Amino acid sequence: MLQPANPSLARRVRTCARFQSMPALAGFAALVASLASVIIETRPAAAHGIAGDRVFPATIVIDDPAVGDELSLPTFSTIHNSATSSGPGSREFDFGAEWDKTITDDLGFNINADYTSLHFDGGDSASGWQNPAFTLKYRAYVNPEHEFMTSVGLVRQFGGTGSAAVDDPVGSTTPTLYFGKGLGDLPIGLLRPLAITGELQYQISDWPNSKANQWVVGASLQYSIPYLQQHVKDMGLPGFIRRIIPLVEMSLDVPASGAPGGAVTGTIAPGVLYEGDAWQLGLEALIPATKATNTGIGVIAQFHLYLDDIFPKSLGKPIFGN
Amino acid sequence: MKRTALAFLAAAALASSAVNVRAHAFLDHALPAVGSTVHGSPPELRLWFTQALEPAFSSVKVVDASGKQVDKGDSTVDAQDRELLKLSLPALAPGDYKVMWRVTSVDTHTTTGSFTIHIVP
Repeated sequence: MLQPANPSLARRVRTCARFQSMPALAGFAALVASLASVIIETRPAAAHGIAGDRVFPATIVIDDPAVGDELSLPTFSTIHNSATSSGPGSREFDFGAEWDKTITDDLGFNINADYTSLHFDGGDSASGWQNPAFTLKYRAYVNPEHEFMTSVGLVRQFGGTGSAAVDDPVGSTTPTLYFGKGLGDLPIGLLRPLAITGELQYQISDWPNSKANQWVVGASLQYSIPYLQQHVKDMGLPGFIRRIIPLVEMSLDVPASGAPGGAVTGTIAPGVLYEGDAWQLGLEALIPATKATNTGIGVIAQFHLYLDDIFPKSLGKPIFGN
Repeated sequence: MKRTALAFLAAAALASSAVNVRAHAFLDHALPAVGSTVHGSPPELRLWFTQALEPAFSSVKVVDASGKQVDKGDSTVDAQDRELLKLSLPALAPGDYKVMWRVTSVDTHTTTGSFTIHIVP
């Protein structure tokens, strides 16, 4: 789950106070984790979805529009956080897991957990679990003919449930709109495998005086080689290439109007997804989208399982219905 | 951190051990090929899928530019190769034809899809 990037002074102070063992680095560690988490954490839910001829894959940086039975395990990322006037740079490693479960065909939930380890350039380190995130998601509309799908969701983070060394003590509630649109219904020839997915979130802080509300805007542009082969033109490509989806993801955190301080931060993540029969492997670069993001270039990788294929009669089917 | 990383990797290995499974059936390839131009009317259409199919719930049809079904209506899953779906075609005039399939894999998941073939003299 992507955490808010809100390096407010109040939050830094609060985190410093909790970090008794390393007071000089405590606040900075949490700040770095907060900033870096904008880039290297995955968002909850990554279910693939089908709308007509289109299969929306599980994107890594943003959530896709589907509801499903899936498991992301693990999601691994690393990036270098640049030094600032208040502290040294650090190498950050994240290990994440997410479980998506359908309640009905259209309603599902997911649980997301991430473990963060920070290694400061000076030799110190900090590590711990981030606040878990819970998401309830409803697939509201699917138009097979036009390869369109939209869902709505509510993401809840319980502040203070993770380690104070690496995460924010302030929780949040985030209404979210998801969408996906394949371009296969358009007369654009070999561009028909293109698809766009996106999400729009408004993150409502539990303590808005110390951590501002913010908008989170995410999008992906995908070119599906499987779609090309199956629905547009068989190019005679080798088997390995036939299963690849090149894509670019983007995510921006934008402080809400009137929020004190803060700047737009985010990431651009070009990469590829490889589609197995019941699994997916993803690899993307993590490139800071703005100067305020304050990181180097990182990398993120994810192994993803489609539980509806692996356990179609038990764990992989909705709790109610088929 | 090393212990955490190892724990994640162990869990991933355990999860991946269950990956060799039956999944959604997607089109692997077809004859005539997807989006191909064919000289003369082909006598038959063959579609190979990524999974074995349930014959009772799998079919394919071909329609012309006006949407009229033009095949012989004898769509069948091959008895020896359950990943192969076949359909006989009459002599078709030059033009664009849409192939539309709906299949259910042996794990009960249903998928649909379509593509176009172009017949020229």
